[in-house]
Amino acid sequence: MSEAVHPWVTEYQQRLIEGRLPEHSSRHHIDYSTLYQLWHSQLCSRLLDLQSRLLQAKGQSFYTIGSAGHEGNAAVAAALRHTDPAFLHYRSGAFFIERSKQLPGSTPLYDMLLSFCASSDDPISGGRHKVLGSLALNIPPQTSTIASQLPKAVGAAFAIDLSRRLGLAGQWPQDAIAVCSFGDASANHSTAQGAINSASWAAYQQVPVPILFICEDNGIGISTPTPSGWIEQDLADRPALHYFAADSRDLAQTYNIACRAAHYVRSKRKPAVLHLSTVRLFGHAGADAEAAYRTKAQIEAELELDPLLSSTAALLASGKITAAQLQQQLSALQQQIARVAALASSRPKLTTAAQVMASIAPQRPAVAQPTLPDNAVREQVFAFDQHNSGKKQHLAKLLNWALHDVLAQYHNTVVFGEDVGKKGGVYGVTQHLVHAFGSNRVINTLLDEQSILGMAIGLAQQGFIAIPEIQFLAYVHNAEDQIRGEAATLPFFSNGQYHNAMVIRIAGLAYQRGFGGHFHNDNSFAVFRDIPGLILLCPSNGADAALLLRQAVHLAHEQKRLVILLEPIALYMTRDLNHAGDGLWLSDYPAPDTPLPVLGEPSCYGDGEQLAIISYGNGYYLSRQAEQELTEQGYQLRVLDLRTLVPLHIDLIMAALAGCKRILIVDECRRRGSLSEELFTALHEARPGYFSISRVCAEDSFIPLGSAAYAVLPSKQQIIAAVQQMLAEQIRELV
Amino acid sequence: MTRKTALVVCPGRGSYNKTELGYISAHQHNSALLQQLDKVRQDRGLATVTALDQQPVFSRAVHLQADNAAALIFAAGFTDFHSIAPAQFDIVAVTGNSMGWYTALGCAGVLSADSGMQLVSDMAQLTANAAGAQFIYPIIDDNWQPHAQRLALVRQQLERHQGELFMSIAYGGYAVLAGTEAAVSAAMAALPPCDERFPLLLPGHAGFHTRLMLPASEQAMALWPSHRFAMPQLPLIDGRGHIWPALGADLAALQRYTLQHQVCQTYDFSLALQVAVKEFAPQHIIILGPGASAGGAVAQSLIQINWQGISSKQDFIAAQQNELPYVLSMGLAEQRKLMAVTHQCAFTN
Repeated sequence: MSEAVHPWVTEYQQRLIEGRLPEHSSRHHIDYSTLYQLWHSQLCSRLLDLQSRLLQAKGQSFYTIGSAGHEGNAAVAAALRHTDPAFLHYRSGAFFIERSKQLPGSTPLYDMLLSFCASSDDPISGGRHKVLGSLALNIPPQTSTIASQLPKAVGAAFAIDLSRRLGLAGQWPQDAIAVCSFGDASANHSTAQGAINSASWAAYQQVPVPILFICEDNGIGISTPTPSGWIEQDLADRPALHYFAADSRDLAQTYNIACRAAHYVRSKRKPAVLHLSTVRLFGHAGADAEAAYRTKAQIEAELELDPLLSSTAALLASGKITAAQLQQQLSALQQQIARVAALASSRPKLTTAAQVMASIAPQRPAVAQPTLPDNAVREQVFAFDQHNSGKKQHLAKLLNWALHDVLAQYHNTVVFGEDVGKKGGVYGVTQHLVHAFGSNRVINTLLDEQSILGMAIGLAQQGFIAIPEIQFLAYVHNAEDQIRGEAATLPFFSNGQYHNAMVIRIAGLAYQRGFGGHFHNDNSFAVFRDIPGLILLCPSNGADAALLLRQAVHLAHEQKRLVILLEPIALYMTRDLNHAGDGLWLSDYPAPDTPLPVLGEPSCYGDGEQLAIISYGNGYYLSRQAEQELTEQGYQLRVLDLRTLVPLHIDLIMAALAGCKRILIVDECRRRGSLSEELFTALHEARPGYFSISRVCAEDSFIPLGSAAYAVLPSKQQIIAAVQQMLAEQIRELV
Repeated sequence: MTRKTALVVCPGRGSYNKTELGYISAHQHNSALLQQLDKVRQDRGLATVTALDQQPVFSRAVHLQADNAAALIFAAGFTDFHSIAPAQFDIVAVTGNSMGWYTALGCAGVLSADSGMQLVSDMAQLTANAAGAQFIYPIIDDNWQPHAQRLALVRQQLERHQGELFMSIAYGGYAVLAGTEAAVSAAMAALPPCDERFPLLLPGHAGFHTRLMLPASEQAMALWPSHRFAMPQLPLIDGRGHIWPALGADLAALQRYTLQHQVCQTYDFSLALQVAVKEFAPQHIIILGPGASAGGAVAQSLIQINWQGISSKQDFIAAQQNELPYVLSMGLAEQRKLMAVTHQCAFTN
C-alpha cells in the first residue's frame, strides 16, 4: 500500500521499538485475551480516527471529530451487554468496535468508514451523517451531542422496567440497563443536569431507573478547562445515584470497575455514574488549532498520557506477546484499515433530495390495529361518567373519553406529565385515567419538560406509544430540542430503522378568559413548523378532538410518527357558539369505530362561494361566530377548519376551496411567523394570481393580562369587517 | 512485484470427488508436509492420504467414507495453503466452510499438521455414524439472483419440520438442510425438483451442524481440551461471521466454538465470507483445493451484498476476466499456476 501513514503510527512504532512506554502498574486483574481484545478495539478506533483525517485531506471524509484519548471506553463496552441500549457521545469509537465483537457478523470497520465517507451504503444513517449507531448493537445514532441524548437515555431506562411491570415485550430485554456517555464539558449542560436529576428524583422514591451515566472526563471543553475536581464534586453525592470512578488508561481497572457499576445498576435497578478519567488527543476535531490555546509542552505532556501506550505496556507486561508481534499487528491493522477505507470511499453517495429525505418519515406498511375494546370493557372504563353517556360534551370531556378508549385499545400507550394522575392534568383532560389504567400507565412526572420529552423518546424506543402532556405551549420552548434535535431526527439519522412514535399533547393558544398572561396564552407554535417529519394536529371542537387524537395514535402506532396534538385551552370547556346556552359547541362522542379523517383534509362548514375563511383552533371558532352573522346579512360563505397544521396538505385545502376565489385567513397566531404566511404563499404558488387573499392575525406581541389580551388577538368583529371589505371590493370590481 | 493481499477460503465436505482423484499427489508429490500428514494416518492405522489419492479408481465406498474424505480434504487444503507463494501473496485472513473450518484452523496455526489431521479424523469418526442426513437445494435462479419461491418453500419445510429439520449451512446460493432422516426424506419429497439434480442428498453425511451432533460434540470436548489449540497467527472468520484475532484469541472460547457451536448449529458460510471481504478488503480470494466448487458459493455470497458492484452471475464472470482474477481457485490448474510455488511446498515446519 502506498497510502500515507499518520505521524502517530510512526511514533507508536518507534516507541514499540525503543520501549518508550509508561510503566505498567495496575493492581487489577484482567485476562490476556480480554486485554488484547480491548487493545485491538482501541487501536482500531485510533487508526480509524487517523484514517478519517487522511480521507478528509483527500475530500473523501467530512467530519473528523474523533475518539483519540477516550479509547478506554472499550473496557466499559466489554463490561456491558450488546442488548443494553447505549446512547453514546461522539468519542465512542472504541466502545462501538468493542461492542460489535459481542455480535458475530458485525463489520464495524467497514461500517464506520462508510459513515465517515457519507456513503449511502452506511448501514446506520444511509449516508446522512457520521454517526455511531447500529440497530443490531442497540446503539441509537447520535450526532454532535451536547448531552441532549441523556433525557431519552433516562426514559429508556425507565421504559425497560415499565415493560416488565406491564408484561409487555419491548425492544430491549427486561434485564437490560440503559447506558449513556458524555464529556466533562457537556456535564454542565442543563440537559445533562436535568436528566441526572430526573434519574435521582425517581430512584430516590424507589422507582426503577437502571441507567449507567458515563462521564468521560478529559478535563477540557474545546478550549475551556474543566476546574480540577469539578466532576467528582458535582456527581459524587447526588441522591440515590451511586458514584464509581476509574482511570481509563488502566484497562484492567476500568474493566473491573465498569463490571461492578454495571452489576450494581443491573441488579439494583438503580442509577449510577461512572466517572472515567480520559485525555483528549489531537484537539477537539480535525479543524481545531489546539496550539492557539494550549502550550506545546501541555500538548506534548498529554501525548504521554495516551491510553494506547498504557494498554500496550499492560500487554507487554503480560508476557504473552512481544513488542515485535505488536508492531506486526499494528502494521497489519493499519494496512487493513487503509484498504477498507479505499473501498468505502468508492461507495455511492446520496445524490438527490428525494434520497436524502426518504428517511424523514418513511411510509411504513399498514399494520393491524389492536382490537377495539368490547362493551364490557368500555362499560367498566366509563363507569365513572355513566351519567354523561349519550349527552353532548365539550372538547375537554370528549378528549378525556377518547383517551380512555385509546388506553383500553392500545395496551402499550402510556400517559404522563406533570399532574396527569389524580389531578387529571392541567385542565382535567386526563381525569380518572389513573383509576381505570393504574399508575404504571398514567404517570405523574417531575416538573421538567426536557425530562418529560426525553421519557417519551425512551418509552417510544422501547415500543410504547408515549402520550406526554405538556401543561402549556410556552413551556415546551425550554425543551424543544428534545423534539427538534432528538425525536424528529432519529428516523433521519438511522435511515428509518429507529423511530420514536409518540403523541405529545400540548395545552396551548390564547383566549383564556380572565386568566393567564403570556405564558398561559402563548400563541406561537412556529417552533414546530419547520421540523421535517413532524405532524401537528389542532382540533377546534370535541368531536374533532376525539377523532384527531385517535388519528394521532394511529399514526404513531402504524407509521411510527411524531405527532403533536395542540389543544386550544380556551375551547376545552366551551359549550356555546353564538349565544349563552345555545350549546352549539358541544359534540356527540364519535363512536370508537368512526372512520378517521383523511390526514390533512380540512373540515368544511357551509358551501358558499363568495368567500372562504380558512382557520383553525380559536380562530375557527370566532370565524364560525362571524359566519353566523354574515350569513344572516346575506353573504354566502364557507369556513374551513384546517385541523392538520403541520404539514399543510395544500392539495386537500385546494379541493375544499373549489369554487371560491376570495380567501380570508384567520390566524390567532402572530402576523409574523404564523401559519398564515405559509398558507398565503402556498395558495399563491398552487394557483398564481387566482386567489384574492387577506389575513386577520394576532399582533406581533406577547399576550398581556386580562382584557388587554383581546387587543392583540383577532376578534369576531375584525373577521366580519374583513369579509365585508373583501366582498365590497368584489362588488366594486364587478361594477 | 507487489504482494497482493488475499483471503483464504477452505472448502468443506463433498469437495473431493472423482475428478479430484490424484489432485494431492500431483501437486505435493513426496513433499515433507504430505509425508507428515500420511504418518498421522499411518499411526492411527488408517489409509494414508497418498494411498487414497493415488488409487487408480475413485470409489465412493472408499473416498467418501467419512474419515477418508475428511483426511483428503484437510490434506488438500492444508498443503495447498502452504503452496501459496509467500512472495506473491500476503494472507490477511482465513475462513472456511463447514469442515473447512478445521482446515482454516490449521492454516492459521491453531492446529499443527499433526493435530489438524488428528482432529479431522476424530471428528469424522465421531460423526460418521451419527444420526440424521443432509441435503442441498438451490435458493437462487440461473443468474444467481434470489429465487423467492424456492426460499419460501425451504422456509416452509423448516417450519413444518421444526425441531427435526434445520438450516445446516448457508452456502451462497444454496441452502444445505439437515435433520432427522425422516424429516430430510419428507422435505426432499416436498421440494420441487430443479436443475436436474436437486434436492440432492449428500451421501455419507449425517445431520451436520444440528443438535443431532450433540453426542459427537460432547465427546470431542473431552478429547480436545483447549490446550491442544494454539494461538492463531492469522485472523480467522468463523461460521457465525465472528472474527478471531491473530495473537490474542481466547483459546478456551475458540475450543468451545469449534467443538460445540460449530458442530451443532448453523454454519453461515455466506456471512463469514461477507464479513471477511468487508473487514479485510483483500485484493483476492484464494479458494484452496480440493476442487473448485466453492467458487460458486463464494461468488453468490458476494452477489448477495452487491460486493464491489458484483450483482449477478454475469457481473462475476466479467469481474473474473483479469490477468489475476479476483477469485482464484487452487483447484483450477490455470489459476493455480498464478499463485502457487510450483512443485515445491512452502511448508517449513
